[in-house]
Amino acid sequence: MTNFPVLAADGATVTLDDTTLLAPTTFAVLPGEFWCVTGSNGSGKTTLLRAFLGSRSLTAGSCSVRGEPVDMAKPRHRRLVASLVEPIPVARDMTLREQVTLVAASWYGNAPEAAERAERVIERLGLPALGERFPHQVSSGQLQLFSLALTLVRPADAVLLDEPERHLDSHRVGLVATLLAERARKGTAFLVATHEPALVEACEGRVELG
Amino acid sequence: MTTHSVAAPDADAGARVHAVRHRYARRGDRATVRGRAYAAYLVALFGLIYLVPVFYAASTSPALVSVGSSADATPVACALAAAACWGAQLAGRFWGPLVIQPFLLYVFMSTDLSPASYLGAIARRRLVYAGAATLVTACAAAYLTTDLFDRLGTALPGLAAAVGLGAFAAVAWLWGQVRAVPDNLALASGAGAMALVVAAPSRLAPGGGGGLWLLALVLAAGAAALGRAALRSIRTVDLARLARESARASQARAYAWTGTLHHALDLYRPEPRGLTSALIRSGGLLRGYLAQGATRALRTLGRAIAAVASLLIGGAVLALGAAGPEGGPALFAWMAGAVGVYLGSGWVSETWRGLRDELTLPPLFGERWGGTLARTLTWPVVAVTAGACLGGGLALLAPWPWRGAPVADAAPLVAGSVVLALGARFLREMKLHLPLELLLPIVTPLGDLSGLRIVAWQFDGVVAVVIGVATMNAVPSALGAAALGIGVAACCVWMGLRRTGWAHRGLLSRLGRGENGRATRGSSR
Repeated sequence: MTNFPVLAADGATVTLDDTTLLAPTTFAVLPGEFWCVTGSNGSGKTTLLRAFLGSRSLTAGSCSVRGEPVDMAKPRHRRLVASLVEPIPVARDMTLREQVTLVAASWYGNAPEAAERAERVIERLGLPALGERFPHQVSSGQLQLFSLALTLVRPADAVLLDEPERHLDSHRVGLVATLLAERARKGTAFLVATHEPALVEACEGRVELG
Repeated sequence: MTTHSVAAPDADAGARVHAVRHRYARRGDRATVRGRAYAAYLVALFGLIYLVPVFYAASTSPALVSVGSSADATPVACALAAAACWGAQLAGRFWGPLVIQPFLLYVFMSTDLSPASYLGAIARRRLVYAGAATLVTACAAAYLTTDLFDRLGTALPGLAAAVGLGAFAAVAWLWGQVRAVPDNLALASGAGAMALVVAAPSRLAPGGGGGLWLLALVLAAGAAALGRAALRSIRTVDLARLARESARASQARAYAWTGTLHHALDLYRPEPRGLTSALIRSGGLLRGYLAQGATRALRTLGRAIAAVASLLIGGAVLALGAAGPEGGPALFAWMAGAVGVYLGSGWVSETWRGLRDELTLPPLFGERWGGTLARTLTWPVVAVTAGACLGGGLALLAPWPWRGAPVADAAPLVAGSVVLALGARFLREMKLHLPLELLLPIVTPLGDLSGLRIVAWQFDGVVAVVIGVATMNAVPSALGAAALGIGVAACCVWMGLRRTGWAHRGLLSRLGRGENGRATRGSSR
């Protein structure tokens, strides 16, 4: 691990007409660090994540990933950043396992490694029994775990998550927190917008907005 | 598990794309061979029963329109080429060749693969399909309506121009999706200029027969140059926008397949922007109904401009058609103008939906007398009437050489047609879900025509306008025709009210309650 930040914001600001969506924000997340973004509704948590994702332009300041300005059009940016910020458009005619494996195959090719990685993430998130189900056959909490599986099955240097605790009970939140912490120990940087105390406790750094 | 653990992006791009496609192709409800064969069988059956007789009839009867020589056909072909280019660009902005299943796009987007590696093949294949479809459609339309293919001297250059048109339109479709607005404006202007330049020699020297060949050459060269640039642009396509377009297209497709095309079209309405404090005066009072309607229309500026253009042009064409000599193209102009006014009436106002919601959803607004109707109908009725009458009035006052009827005769026809268009718009906007009874078969010697009824229901507003104008045209007196148009509009309104669950008695009692309530409040003061 190096000390060069994976995610860095320098006075990142977003305003719309006279409204400030994101007040000037500065911080840096190093490889393997797990940071949370907290704040009240409308304080700019999702806007900040979108700025790092590249789907929201800043009106002042800058956001960078591995020292390069954010640009979703660049393959390198898409290679480095995984995200669960916008809802994932799932395929209604594929089972949960098939879909997670498909994402893995897009990275590892049609190799046994893809299926193994998919199976591992499914298992860690407590979804093995639901692997053969279609998206309409699971609850909203299980769908959230499935979305997390789609996001975490791929390799990434930085992961952006917007309220990963959505629809989850405390046991599942614990599962997710453990998985994120483990993944962080392997070098992935996390930036997680959350209202969940368990996730806030697990994080190593915190950006308080609003 | 960082990205150091995987290979460099382009090292195995082909294998990764193939892996995803291979797995995705094996998903649950993919099309089977038997399913495809059945679809082909239905298409063949449809062609045998309906298309073959039509083509046979066209081949054994004189052409509807005589194109004359190759030079005479060139300006029309140039105009068609320009219109096809503009239409294809516009279609590409909303539903281009790169639109794919949202989940598949998500899978590819979340990788470091270049968009060209997973969208390039799809784009090329779809361009071939689109070009072939355009070619077949253009040739079929020309064969059915003109004598272009009756003589070898016009058939060969006509076919070459159609091939060029297919290629150019297909490429313009991709261009419309992958290039920015300024580039699209440049192409649209270029296509218009090209049409003028190619058409000019044939107008100046009518004896010259190379106009269609020249057009074909220009279109082919343009398609090659544009295609190369457009395919290169796939590498830098805006993926976030493509994801939104794909998600919207997927949802629209689901609505269209389940019989509610109007819900699918609703997804393509623009989002309102600007004028955020224009509805309320500084004192806190709401502005009047007209000002409210105008402000809300201006919040979707592009749509409002399209509405104004449609109303003005539609009104002018409608007036020219209504005032034109009996038979010939006048009736088509009348119908086209009325359809233009009908389309403009929808784009000019968002308040039609407000009316439908007030009639179908749990009550939110008060029942003050005329409140619902005044709130929702004042603006569209005034705007449509003003726009169509302005366009029609200017057209009638201008000294057109081919005008048949005097202004006094044409005015009632225009008025009746505008009322008819408003009634048809009301009918269309009150549409909710597909009634189940429409799925019942209609057994006739020509087969089950329930599909035709569903198509008519999907486009009921246009159908009402076209049938209404055709019926008005059959009435000898202008005043009688206008009265008929108003009658058809009244029927449309009645049917629209029934769609919302408001039979006329229910509506009258509701309005009566409002009136009584007001009277009661007035007497208690």
